[in-house]
Amino acid sequence: MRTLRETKEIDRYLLGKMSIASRLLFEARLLIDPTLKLRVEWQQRLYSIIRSSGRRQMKSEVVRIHHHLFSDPDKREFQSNVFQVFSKK
Amino acid sequence: MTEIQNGPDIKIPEERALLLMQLYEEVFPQVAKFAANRGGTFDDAKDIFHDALVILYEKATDEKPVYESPKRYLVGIAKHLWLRKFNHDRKKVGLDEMERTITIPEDYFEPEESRLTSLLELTGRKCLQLLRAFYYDSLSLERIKTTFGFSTAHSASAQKFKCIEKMRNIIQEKSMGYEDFA
Repeated sequence: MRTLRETKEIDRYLLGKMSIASRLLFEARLLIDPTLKLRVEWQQRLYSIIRSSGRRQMKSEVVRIHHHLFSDPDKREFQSNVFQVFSKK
Repeated sequence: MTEIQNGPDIKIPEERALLLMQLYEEVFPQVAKFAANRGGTFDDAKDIFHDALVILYEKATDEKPVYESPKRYLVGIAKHLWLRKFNHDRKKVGLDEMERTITIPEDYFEPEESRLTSLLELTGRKCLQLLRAFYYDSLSLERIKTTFGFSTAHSASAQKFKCIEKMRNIIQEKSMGYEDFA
């Protein structure tokens, strides 16, 4: 359970949810505890990976919509509106 | 405040597809015109617009102008992305007052850890799905509970931390393996 408590603490630290007092205390611990510091770094990397993965997923959702709009015969008006803009050049 | 103009809620996957489709149909022609007038290609316009939709989604939870006028906001984001990509003169792009307040997420163009991301997407699919719901989609605990079929909000939250530890351990193994031999 010790690690779970620590994981929750790291979470609150990284999300900026700690009070100033707890944050200072936590940062003091980081200075003397290199393993804790590493776990904070790994957890932070995890959070940016979660974001990358979320962005990838959103992008593929958008790409699906793009394909739909540019292949559906019902959307011909939309398609020609867009292509017209580029053909004037 | 996740709702955009009392219409479909961007945070709910089924409604999101509908909303994104609407925005795409209505706003993309405008962005395409903007790009074409400045010498951009169809692909330039498309790339910028796709990023703009992702960024709009990320902002939709907490920024007022987004849900007040998602279309204008989307155009604004696209203009900022254009400025960034082509280093254009700000004056020539002509940003209005609302548009000037828009910021692009700082880490948006940072290179992602693509190998590790792909690895975790593969080996920890379930966990990553859950963590995305919490951290990327910022869904409420209640919604996560129903979506993922947890019996209580508490068990959803407990599983979140288990997943964090599991994924963090994989990252630890990988970073030890690759570089921390010294």
